[in-house]
Amino acid sequence: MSSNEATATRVKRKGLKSGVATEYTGFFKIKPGHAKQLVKDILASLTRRGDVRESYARIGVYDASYVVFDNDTRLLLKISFDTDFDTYFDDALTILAGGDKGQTGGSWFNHLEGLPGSFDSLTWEDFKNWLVAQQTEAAIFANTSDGSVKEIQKAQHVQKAFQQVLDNPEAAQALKHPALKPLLDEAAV
Amino acid sequence: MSTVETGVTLELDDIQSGVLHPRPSPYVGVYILLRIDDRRAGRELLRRLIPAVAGTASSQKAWGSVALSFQGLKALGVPQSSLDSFPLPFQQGMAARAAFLGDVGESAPENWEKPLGTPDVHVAISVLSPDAEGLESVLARARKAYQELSGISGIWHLDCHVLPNEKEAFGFKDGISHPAVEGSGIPGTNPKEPPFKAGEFILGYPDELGEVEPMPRPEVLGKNGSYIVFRKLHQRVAAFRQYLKATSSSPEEEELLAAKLMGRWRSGAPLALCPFRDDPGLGADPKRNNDFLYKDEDPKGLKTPPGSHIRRMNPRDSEIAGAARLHRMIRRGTSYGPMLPSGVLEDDGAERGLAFVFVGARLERQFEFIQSEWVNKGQFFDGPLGDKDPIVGANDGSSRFTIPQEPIRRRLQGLPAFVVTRGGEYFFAPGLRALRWLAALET
Repeated sequence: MSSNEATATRVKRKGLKSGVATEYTGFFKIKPGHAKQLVKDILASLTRRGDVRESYARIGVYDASYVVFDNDTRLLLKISFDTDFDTYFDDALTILAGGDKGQTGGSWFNHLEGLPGSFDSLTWEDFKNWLVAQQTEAAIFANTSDGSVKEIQKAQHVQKAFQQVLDNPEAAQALKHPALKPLLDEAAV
Repeated sequence: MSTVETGVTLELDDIQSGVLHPRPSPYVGVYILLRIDDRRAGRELLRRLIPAVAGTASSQKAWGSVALSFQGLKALGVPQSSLDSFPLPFQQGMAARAAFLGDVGESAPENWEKPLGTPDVHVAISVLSPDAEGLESVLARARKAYQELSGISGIWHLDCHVLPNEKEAFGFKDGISHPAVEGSGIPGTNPKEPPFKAGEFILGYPDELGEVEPMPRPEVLGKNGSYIVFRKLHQRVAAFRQYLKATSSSPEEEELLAAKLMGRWRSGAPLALCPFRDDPGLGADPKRNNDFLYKDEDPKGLKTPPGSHIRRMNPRDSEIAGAARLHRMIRRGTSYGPMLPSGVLEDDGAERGLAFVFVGARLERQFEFIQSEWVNKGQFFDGPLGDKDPIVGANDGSSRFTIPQEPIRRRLQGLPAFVVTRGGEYFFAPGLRALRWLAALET
């Protein structure tokens, strides 16, 4: 049984899967006149602890897009990740916020319509349910990666090391050992 | 940071003793399952059991615990609005969650020992004691409570006892790790692990996310309760020994391989503190045998493989996907069945294994998460996606296990299943006030 079917016995959630990736796509209404500050606040929240990619990698986010459209009236939030939305939601909050809602940098949600109370006043559960209520499942979702974010990082690490090996002319001789044939096959280009 | 606490802020006299107290060692114990055929008899049963159930504040050495399945709460006549306030996994029961837990193939519910996994399982009573005398004194009271009561049927029981040298059936010292819980006054076993917020284990208190988890309603029922997972896990000791022998070239290598799979030597000494050879003195020393982390000393797992059993079950401060402190559990294992005699490599057909008990406030975020993400996957520590826990994972002969070592890692192929689920259930262990509330129901 795939993990999708397995989790079907849990709360039914939207979001297509492609390989090990899952998508979250949410459409939000922006409060009139808040669009500019919204974008500023999102950017500030993403950069407040240095490189956001490190936090994203820890919770398995491949990429996230924040798109303001319809004359500054709407926001599209599109995220793809290698984990299950429900399973890792609390982890994501903890990593992004240190468990303290005031530290999430999530106050930018206050620029959006329909949040049931100020961001700081919501319980995590209410916030999660609200996010899910704004979700529209993609019609089509394709992710070319077969690996988790951590596997991709490891692969990049190994590729860098392999290229360093190839930079040494003596590598040609060393790679002729039969045990290294799979690497030799990758070494010509 | 020390885990020793003096401040007691939990209502220890209301929380069942079996919830927070580590099991004694050595120990004897028994698990009894009952069916409620008449709700009035069920309530009378609880009334009679309450005196046998000690609060955590009690100084008793032996204690009885009582817990109810969702079907049990229904059988007691708990109002529907209250039943609906329990989380979905609890309502569904363990058998319905099997695919998610990795209980497939031979471990699938259709192969479980009856009545485990059936709607007949209503009440679980457990008694744990350091000795047979203590067990009998508590057990006698518990037995009296249900044996003389028509409308209550005893449907299953399991006797547990410590094996020689306080080891479990595979031969490892067990019951070493226990988290500190804020406000309980009960110290944890890892001085380097800060105490956990009580709401991670007891309902009605703030948790690691800074929130009070929604409780079953009414509050008198939910407050000071915990969820209990009970699993009967059969251990294939002969298969484990055969695998070690077939994969090693000497008895010393077998022991090292066993330690790499577990993360500890059989003595309990952790690889994190003695990576090259066993140190029985360290293994036996409760002040030292759990005093370690991973991140600074062993980030790559050259001592303790990231895929080993203890590092999966409790990654401590390892770099993993997610936040490890959200997935801590109180775990209590007790052995059943005879030890397979030393040196025997052929299966003798005996039933032996572990009665596994989890205690926590969140079935999904704790027990089910650990089963699905940490036990039966590898990606959380950047291991291969399909790799599973080598000891308790749902292995099917196609799994691998990676032992990081220099200059190159060793990878074992074709791990079979060493543990088979014989059955289990999700229970709710109410506080003592809640037990009295249940006993006084008038629906």
